[in-house]
Amino acid sequence: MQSRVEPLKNLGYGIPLKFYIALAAIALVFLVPTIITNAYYIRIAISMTLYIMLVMGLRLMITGGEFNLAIPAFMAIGAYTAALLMTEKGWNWWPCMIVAGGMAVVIAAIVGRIVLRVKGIYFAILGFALVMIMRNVWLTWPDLFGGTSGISNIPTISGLSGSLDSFYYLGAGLAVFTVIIMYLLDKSRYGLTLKAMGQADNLAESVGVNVMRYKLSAFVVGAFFAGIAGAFFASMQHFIDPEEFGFAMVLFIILYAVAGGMRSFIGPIIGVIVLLALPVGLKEIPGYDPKIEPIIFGGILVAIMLFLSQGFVSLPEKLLTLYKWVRERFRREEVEEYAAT
Amino acid sequence: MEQNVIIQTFVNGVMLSTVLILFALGLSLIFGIMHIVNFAHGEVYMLGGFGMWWFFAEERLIGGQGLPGFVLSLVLTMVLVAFIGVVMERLFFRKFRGNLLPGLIISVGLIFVMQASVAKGWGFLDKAIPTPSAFEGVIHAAGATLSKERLFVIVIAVVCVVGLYLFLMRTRQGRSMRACSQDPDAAALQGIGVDRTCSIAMAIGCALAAASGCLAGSVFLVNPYMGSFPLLKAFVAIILGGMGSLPGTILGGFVIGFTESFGSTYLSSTVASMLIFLVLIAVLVVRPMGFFGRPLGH
Repeated sequence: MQSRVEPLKNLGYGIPLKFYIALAAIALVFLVPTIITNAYYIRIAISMTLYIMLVMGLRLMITGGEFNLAIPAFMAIGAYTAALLMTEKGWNWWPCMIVAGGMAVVIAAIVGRIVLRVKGIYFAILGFALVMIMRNVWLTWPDLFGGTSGISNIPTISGLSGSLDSFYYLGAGLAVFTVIIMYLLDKSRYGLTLKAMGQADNLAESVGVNVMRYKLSAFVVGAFFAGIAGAFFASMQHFIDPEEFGFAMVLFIILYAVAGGMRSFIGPIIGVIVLLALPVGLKEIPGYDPKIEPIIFGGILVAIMLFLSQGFVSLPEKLLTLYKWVRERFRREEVEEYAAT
Repeated sequence: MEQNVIIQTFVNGVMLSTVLILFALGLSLIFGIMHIVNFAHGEVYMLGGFGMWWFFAEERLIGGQGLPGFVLSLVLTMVLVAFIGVVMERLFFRKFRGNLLPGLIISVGLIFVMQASVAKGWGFLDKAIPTPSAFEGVIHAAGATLSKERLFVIVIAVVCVVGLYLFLMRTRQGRSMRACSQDPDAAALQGIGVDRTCSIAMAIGCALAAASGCLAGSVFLVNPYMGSFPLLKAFVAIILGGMGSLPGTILGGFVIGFTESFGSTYLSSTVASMLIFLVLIAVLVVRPMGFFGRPLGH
């Protein structure tokens, strides 16, 4: 029996306030093209949807205690699968997307069994190595994958008008789908088990959790969404090449996830949105040179690690503590002044 | 004909291995003592290459583009980069010592900063470093044609590795460094300044990476993004040998260097780099801690 009434936590029918906020946020996401008409901004918004699909995979694995840097490898697998099926076999995009996701899942399930034998920093480096292996796979068979020039003339998505807005709606739909699935996983018993493993995998194992199976499933789920993101990316860009899914993408995924805050569910999403929107704002400053953008990004990452280890999402909390500390400080001075008189 | 191809490939393999070993030893030393996985080590290497280019190719020192100028530029670059390493350790890595994931992430931040700063300052195009005039041309030995420059690179790299070995094994500071890598707390109880030892380790590691960058830059080309591939190969070498084990790193470096040189001669360069990773995965499946590794938690 709860005696305390918490009016703000729900608005009746037992549905929590959070649910309405989420609904409003999703509605806002789909309203973006009607509010913003600038093509460049829409392009940025499309990359946001793509990166959200990628960082959610990283985040799922982090709750299980492992740092999965192999996400771009699976995005590349999805992109190449879809691109080849569409250009060579003339398939429609929609079945291609399913096959691309499936291909990423199958390869992740095979490779995951091997690379998940190691953990911690070894696993992180192996994930990074996987990205480079896939890059070499594309380069080794130029007849099939097009070598350094990649695959071009990838057809657009059927059933879509082909305009930028239509791609945005599809990307946003996929990203919202990813986020909802990830949220449900996060709040389920499965997510709870992953979190337990993240805190102490030995302990989790000792109470009967099959650690390998849970890690592998998280790896595979991340790969699935990365594969779909790859298929979407291939069709949106109309061309792909091996360098798109390389070292730089690994760095950006780490940057977004960490800057937003990996511990909270919303953190990586906020990281993607803030840091992709940041260059847009910076360009408005006169005399700004886009070449220094990576310096700003790197500076943000370093500053976050040094001063705000839980990312942007912990900023309000940090500011509140700071405010309280300052207020306390002044109050003490007042008391001392009073005492002195 | 067949025999001299093998000899040339072998010498090339030794050259690739020694340059890689210089790089990887620094990374391994930093890991062994501070437990920091420095992803920005590739950028330190890049700074080394640029230092060589700035001092030597642009002729900013006495000695011009001859051998004295080359050695002077090499030493000066190593000292400067070692200083940068000490600053990095003090400002960014000290707080995360022994804390692998945050250390990795902060070094990723440094990659962004260093690559972009160099690209902004000196442009992102490839730059060539001339060969000292004494080492132009080739030597004919046992029917094979060997470039003098590559032999010279091997000699310098071997001198650096032997210097590191003597430092670690024969000096007091080297012994305290080994003690720190075995157990920092016990080392501190013996009166070893752990902070100071870490600074020195970082300085040495960065100086070795700079030397590697200078040598690789003079054989190949220099550009702001040159660091990511050696970094990856060095990781593979270190994991093969077992993280934190210096003899293991050297062994791993030779495995990678020879796989790369023979693979690219007899197969193709992309197959060779794929082979490297397949070797890595095969070793990890059989022996997850590498050849000489100790078990390690997160």
